[in-house]
Amino acid sequence: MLRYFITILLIFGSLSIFAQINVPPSKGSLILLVKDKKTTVRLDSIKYDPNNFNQAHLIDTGSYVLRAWVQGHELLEDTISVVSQKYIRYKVDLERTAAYDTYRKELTWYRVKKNLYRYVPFLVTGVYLINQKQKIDDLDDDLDFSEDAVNRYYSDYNQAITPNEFELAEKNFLERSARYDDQLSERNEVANQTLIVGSIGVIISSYLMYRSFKLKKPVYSPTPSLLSHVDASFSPILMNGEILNTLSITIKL
Amino acid sequence: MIRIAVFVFCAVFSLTSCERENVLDDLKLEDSPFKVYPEIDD
Repeated sequence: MLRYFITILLIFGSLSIFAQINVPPSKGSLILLVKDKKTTVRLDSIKYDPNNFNQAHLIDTGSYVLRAWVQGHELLEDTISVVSQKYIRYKVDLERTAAYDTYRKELTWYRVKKNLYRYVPFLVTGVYLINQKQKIDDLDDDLDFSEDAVNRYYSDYNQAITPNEFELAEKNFLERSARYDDQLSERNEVANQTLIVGSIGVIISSYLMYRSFKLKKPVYSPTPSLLSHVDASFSPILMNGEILNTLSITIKL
Repeated sequence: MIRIAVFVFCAVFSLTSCERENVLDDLKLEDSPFKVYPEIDD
């Protein structure tokens, strides 16, 4: 976004400068809009300086053959005419090659897969474990409370004097004890479930993380070197009493 | 990276996975002195 904004500013800046300066009749103004600074642009046989991209420049009038290319893109060839004292704005829009498009897709998929394998399973398992830990902590608090209550009712029972006190303390003790048993079962069930699910999560996460380190980053090789596929060697042989060298070439496809 | 992650998980596991014992198992009420026992017919 910022780049486009700067480009627009530059265009207007150039236009305003162009409006102020006196352009000789033998020249016109040309601005080449190029996104990628690595793009090679030639006007006829002259290489256009990348520092002059996206800026207006005065050049001699006439027709020029523009050739532009950047890695992974189709070569662009076009003819532009620079007219006397006129302003020409040419957008160098290169189309990606099919191979480069495939490479870009593979690269994106590689990055997605790498991050997906490396972080997401651990994150999910981690959130699950933290959540379960919180749950177990809450259940432990409830258990502590029930434990205190049961001990208190037990003590009340042992210190009871009247039949009513005995009856009340016994009733409370039995109710709380039953509740404590239920809470304890629930707590241990949650802990066991956490252990099983968490273990599976950790194993899967570790495996996927290991896989993420084994993923191969796609490499773009637009111009495969022929020489890397060719093995050439000289072998001396004896033929009609003379030693001759034969050249054997193996081409690997 | 893997080692750190596994270490963290192990730490969380050790906090969550231990089973809690029933500490009130031995707490039994003795019979109250006012308890009325049913009469046994001979």
